[in-house]
Amino acid sequence: MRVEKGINRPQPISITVNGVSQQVYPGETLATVLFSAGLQCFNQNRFEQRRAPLCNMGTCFECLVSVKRSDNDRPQRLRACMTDVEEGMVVEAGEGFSITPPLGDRS
Amino acid sequence: MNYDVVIVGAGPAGIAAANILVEQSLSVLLIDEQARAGGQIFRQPPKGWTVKNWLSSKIYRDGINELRKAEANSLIRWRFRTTVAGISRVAGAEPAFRVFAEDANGVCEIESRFLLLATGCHDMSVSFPGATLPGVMMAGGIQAFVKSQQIVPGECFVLVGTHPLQIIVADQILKAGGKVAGVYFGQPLSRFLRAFKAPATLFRFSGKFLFFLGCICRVLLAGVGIHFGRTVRRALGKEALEQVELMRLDSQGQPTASATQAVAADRLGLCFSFIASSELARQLGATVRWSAPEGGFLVEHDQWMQSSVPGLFVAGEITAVAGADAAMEEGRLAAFGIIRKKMGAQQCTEFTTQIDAVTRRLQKHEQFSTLLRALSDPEDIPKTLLKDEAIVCKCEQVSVGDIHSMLTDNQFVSTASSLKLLTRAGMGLCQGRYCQHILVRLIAEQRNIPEQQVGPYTAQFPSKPLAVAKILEWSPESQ
Amino acid sequence: MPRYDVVIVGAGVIGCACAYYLARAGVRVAVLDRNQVNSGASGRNAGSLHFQLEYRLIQNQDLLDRQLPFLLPLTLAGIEQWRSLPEELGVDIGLKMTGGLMVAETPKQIALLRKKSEIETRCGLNVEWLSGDEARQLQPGLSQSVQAALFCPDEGHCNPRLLTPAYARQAEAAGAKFLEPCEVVDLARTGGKWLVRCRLVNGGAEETIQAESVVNASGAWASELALKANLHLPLFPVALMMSVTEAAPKVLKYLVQHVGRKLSLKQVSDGNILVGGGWSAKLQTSAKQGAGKPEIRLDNLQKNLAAACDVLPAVRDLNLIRTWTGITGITLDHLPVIGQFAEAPGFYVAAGGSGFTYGPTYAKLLSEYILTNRQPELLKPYSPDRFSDLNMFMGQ
Ligand SMILES: Cc1cc2nc3c(=O)[nH]c(=O)nc-3n(C[C@H](O)[C@H](O)[C@H](O)COP(=O)(O)OP(=O)(O)OC[C@H]3O[C@@H](n4cnc5c(N)ncnc54)[C@H](O)[C@@H]3O)c2cc1C
Ligand SMILES: Cc1cc2nc3c(=O)[nH]c(=O)nc-3n(C[C@H](O)[C@H](O)[C@H](O)COP(=O)(O)OP(=O)(O)OC[C@H]3O[C@@H](n4cnc5c(N)ncnc54)[C@H](O)[C@@H]3O)c2cc1C
Ligand code: FES
Repeated sequence: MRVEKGINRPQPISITVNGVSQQVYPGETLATVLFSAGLQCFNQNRFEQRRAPLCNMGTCFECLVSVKRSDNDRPQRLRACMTDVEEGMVVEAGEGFSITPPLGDRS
Repeated sequence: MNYDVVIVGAGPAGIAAANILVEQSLSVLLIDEQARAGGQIFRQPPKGWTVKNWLSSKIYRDGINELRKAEANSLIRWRFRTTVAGISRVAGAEPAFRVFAEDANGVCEIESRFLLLATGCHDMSVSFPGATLPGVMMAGGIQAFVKSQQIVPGECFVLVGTHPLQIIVADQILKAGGKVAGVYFGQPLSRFLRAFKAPATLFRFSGKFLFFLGCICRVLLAGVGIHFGRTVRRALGKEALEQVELMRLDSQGQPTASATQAVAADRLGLCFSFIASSELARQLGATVRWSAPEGGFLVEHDQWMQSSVPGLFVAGEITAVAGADAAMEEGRLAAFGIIRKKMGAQQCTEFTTQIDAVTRRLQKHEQFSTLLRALSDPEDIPKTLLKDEAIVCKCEQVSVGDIHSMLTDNQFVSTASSLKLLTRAGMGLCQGRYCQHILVRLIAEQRNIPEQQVGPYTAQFPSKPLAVAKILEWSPESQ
Repeated sequence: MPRYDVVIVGAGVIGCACAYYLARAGVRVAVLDRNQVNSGASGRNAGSLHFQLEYRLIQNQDLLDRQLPFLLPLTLAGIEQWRSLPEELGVDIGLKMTGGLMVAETPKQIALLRKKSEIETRCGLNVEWLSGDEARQLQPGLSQSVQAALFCPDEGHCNPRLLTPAYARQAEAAGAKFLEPCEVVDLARTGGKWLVRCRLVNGGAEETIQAESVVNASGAWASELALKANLHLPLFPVALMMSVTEAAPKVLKYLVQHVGRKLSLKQVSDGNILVGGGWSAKLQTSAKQGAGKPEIRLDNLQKNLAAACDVLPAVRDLNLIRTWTGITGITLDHLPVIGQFAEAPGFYVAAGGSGFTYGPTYAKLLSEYILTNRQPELLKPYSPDRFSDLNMFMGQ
C-alpha cells in the first residue's frame, strides 16, 4: 500500500517483524511498516481484545508493539506510530503480542 | 540546559512564535513528539524523502513558508521525538519552568524562563458499538499516514463525521490510489448551505472555499457518494472491521425509523471534531473554560496569550480549535507577549504596527473559524450514537451503561474527576484523552449542570505513560 | 432553617463512615463537603491496611509504653471490622486481607525488625519472622536484597476508590443527607445548638444549618475547621505522593512495606501496582490552604520508584502511568485525635493517624460516643483533651 508515484525514498534497510526480515525505508514508522505488511491487528490488550492504530499521532496508545533496538536489547513496548525504523530492529506485533508486560523475570 | 523560552509543539503556532522570538535574540527550544516540524496540518514526509506536489494547494502556502523559514533558522533549537511528560514551576520570583521530557534514550529536565504551550488538538472520538474494532480510526490519523508516511493504510475506506476535513481526507486517499466507499455527514445538507448566508465570509475566504469545492468535485468525480443526514450506528466485523452500519438522522440529529444500511469497508475514519490538548497547561493549574464546539476544555488567556499562570503562554488549537492560520497568528501574538513581558512594555513600542496587523488578521480568521464551527459542530450526535453497550473508556473498558448506573447509584458524584475515581474511566494508557469529552457531557446531562462545573479530569504527571526504568536512570544533579 | 441531629463536615472515609453508623442508628445526619465525596485523602491514599507497629513507635520507647495497652485492642477491633466490611457494605471494595510483609535489606534494618518483632509478639500481635529466602518463597519476585521480613497475616489492602463511596451510598440509603458541595464558613453554638454556616461552592449562596452536634471530619483541614468553632487543634497538613504503574500480570499477593525505607507496594485487582510509602510532595503555601494542589517532587518520585525496584525488580519494566498527591494531617504526637472537646460540648473530631486503616474503626467508635454520650474506652488515649492547654482561652 506504499504510494509509489512521485515519491523518492532513501535506500531500504532491514528490520525483523515477527521473525521475518522486512525491507523498510528510513523515516517510516513501525505503524507504516506493519500496515504495509498487511497487519490488521497490532496487539491484544489486557481484555484480550485485538487492537490497532486509532490516532496515528501518539495519543491513543492502541498501537503498542514490542521493540528491541538490537538482538540482545531488552524489549520495550512502544507506540508503533511514534517509533521510526532503525536497522536491525526486532519487532513483535499482532494478535500474539499482548501489551500486558511480562513480570517476574528479573530478580 | 536553560532557555528563555521552551515551546512545546512545533505546529503552526509553535513555529510562528519561534520565528519571532529568535529575531529578538531570545533563546528558543522547540520540543515535539513528531519526527519533524509542522504539526498536524503539515505532517511532513520523513527527512530525506522527496514527494512531488506535497500539499501544493495555495491555501497551505503561508504555513509552509513559515515552516521553511523556521527550519532554515539556525538560531532555533529543536528536539524531535521528545515527549513532554510534565512541567513544574521553579520556586522564586521570576516566572520559570522546569520541563521534564522523555526521548528514546531517557528523560531530562530543561529549564526555561517562559513557556509556550502550542500542543494543538487531537481528533474527537465518539463511542458506538464496535468502535474499538481494529480498522476504526480517526480520520486525521488516516490522513497523516497518507500525507506524511505516503501509504494508504487500508483497502477500502468509509468516512463518517460532521467536519469538512473528511472531504479533504477522502480526496487525499483517492489521490494516493486508495478506495473510498462513501463519505457520510451526520448533519443535513442545509447546515452547509447556511454558509451562503455569510457571503462576505465566503468571499473573504474564497481561496479556502474554492479549494474545498475542488476537493468535493474530485471526490464526486471519482464516483464516491457524499451523503448527508447519515452516520455510523455500529461497526461490524469478527476480528477487524468488515462493515459499517449507517443510520439516518433527522435535522435534529436524532435517528429516524428508516432502515439502516451496511457498507463493506476495512477502514472507518471518524471525523467529528477536535479536542484541544490542554493537559500540560492543566497540570500547571492554568484556568480552562468549556466550549464543546471549540474543542472541550480550552486554556484561558489574556490579550497577550498569557494563561492564568504567570509566564505560561498558550497559542493555537489549545486555546480554541480554529485552524492553522489562526494558530500562527496566535503564536506570533504569544511571541510578542513574551518579548513584552521580558523587556517591559515601553521597550516594545517598535512592534506596535506588527502587533496590530497580527490582531487584525486574527480577527479575520476568527470569522472563518466561527463559520466553520457553525457548519461542522457535531452538536448532540456523539450522544445520539451512545448505546448502553458502547465503550466510553476504551483503555479500561468502561461502558456507557456502567457510567449511567454509577451516576444513578452515586448521586453525590458530579465531577469528571470523581467519576473517574469511581469507575476507572480515564485511568488507562491514553490518560483519558479519548473519553473525557463524552464523559463530561454525560455527567452534565444527567446532573443537569453546566460542563464547566463538571470540569475536566485532573491532569496528572506524566502526560503520557513513562518507563519506570527511564526515571530511575535520570540524574537530576547532572542537568 | 434545616435542622439535623448531627452535621458532619468532610465526606472522606471518616465522615461517610460516621454518617453510616449514625444514620443506621436512626440519627438525622447531614454530610457536607466543599468538594466531592472521597476527593480528599480518603480517595488518594495508598489503601494499605497496616497493623504492624509503625516505625515511629518502635523508635520512641516512651510513646510506645503509653500506647501499648490501647493498641492491641484497637488493632484487633480494626481487623475484625475489616473482615466483615464487604458483607456489611454489600459491595466489592477491593479488600484483600491476605497478609503483609515488612522487609529489611541491611543488618541495621534487620536489627530494627527484630526489635519490632519482639515487641509485637509480646503484645500479642500475630507476626511471623521470615528469612530472605522464606520471604521470596512466599512472595515470588522479591529481590535478592531482601534479607528478612516480618509477615503479618491480617494485613492487606483495600481500594480507596471504592471504600468511601460504598459507605456514602449505605449512609444515604439509611437516611443520611449529602448536601450540595458547600464550604463551612462559620460555626457557633447558641442556646445549646450548633449553627453551621456554609457557602455553596456553585453559586455562592449562604445557608445556616442547625445541629445538636457537629463532627469535624475535615481531614488535613481539621484545624482550620476547629478554629471556626474557636478551638485550637494542633494538626498539620502533609502532602504525600502516590504512583501507579500500568496493569501487569498478578504477581503481588501481599502488601509489601519496608522497615527502613519509605515504601509501600501492592497490586490492585486490575493489575496496576501502587507505589507509595510517604514520600512528600510540596505543599502550596501561596494558595489558600487546601485549595492548591501540592506539587510533585520528581526527586522524591525517583527515590520512591528506586525503593520499589530494589524490593520488586520487575517494576523496572513497567510504565508509570500516574503520580498524584494527597494531603493528610498529622498531630504533634502523631496520634489521632478523636473525641469531644471539653471546651465546646457537641463538637467532635476524628482526624490524624492512619486514617484509612483505622478510619472505619475511628468512625464506629466516635459514632458510639455520640449515640451514648459516653467515651468508649478505646478512644481514651486520643481525646482532644490532651491539647486542652491550647484552648484555655478558647472555646464556646
Ligand atoms: C490528526 C489531525 C489532522 C489534521 N489535519 C488538518 C488538515 O489537513 N488541514 C487543516 O486545516 N487542519 C488540520 N488539522 C487541524 C490542526 O489542528 C490545525 O490545522 C493546526 O495544525 C493547528 O496548529 P497548532 O500549532 O495549534 O497545533 P498542531 O499542529 O497540532 O501542533 C501541536 C504539536 O504539539 C506536539 N505535542 C503535543 N503535546 C506534546 C507533548 N506532550 N510533548 C511533545 N510534543 C507535543 C504534537 O506532536 C504536535 O506536533 C488536523 C488536526 C489533527 C489532530
Ligand atoms: C498519599 C497518601 C497515602 C496514604 N496512605 C495511607 C495508607 O496506606 N493507610 C492508611 O491507613 N492511611 C493512609 N493515608 C492517610 C489516610 O488517607 C487519611 O488518614 C484518611 O483518608 C483521612 O480521612 P478523612 O476522612 O479524615 O479525610 P479526607 O478524606 O481528607 O476528607 C476530608 C474532607 O473534608 C473536606 N473539608 C475540609 N474542610 C472543609 C470545610 N471547611 N468545609 C467543607 N468541607 C471541608 C475536604 O474537602 C475533604 O473532602 C494516606 C494519606 C495520603 C495523603
Ligand atoms: S495510533 Fe494512537 S498512539 Fe499510535
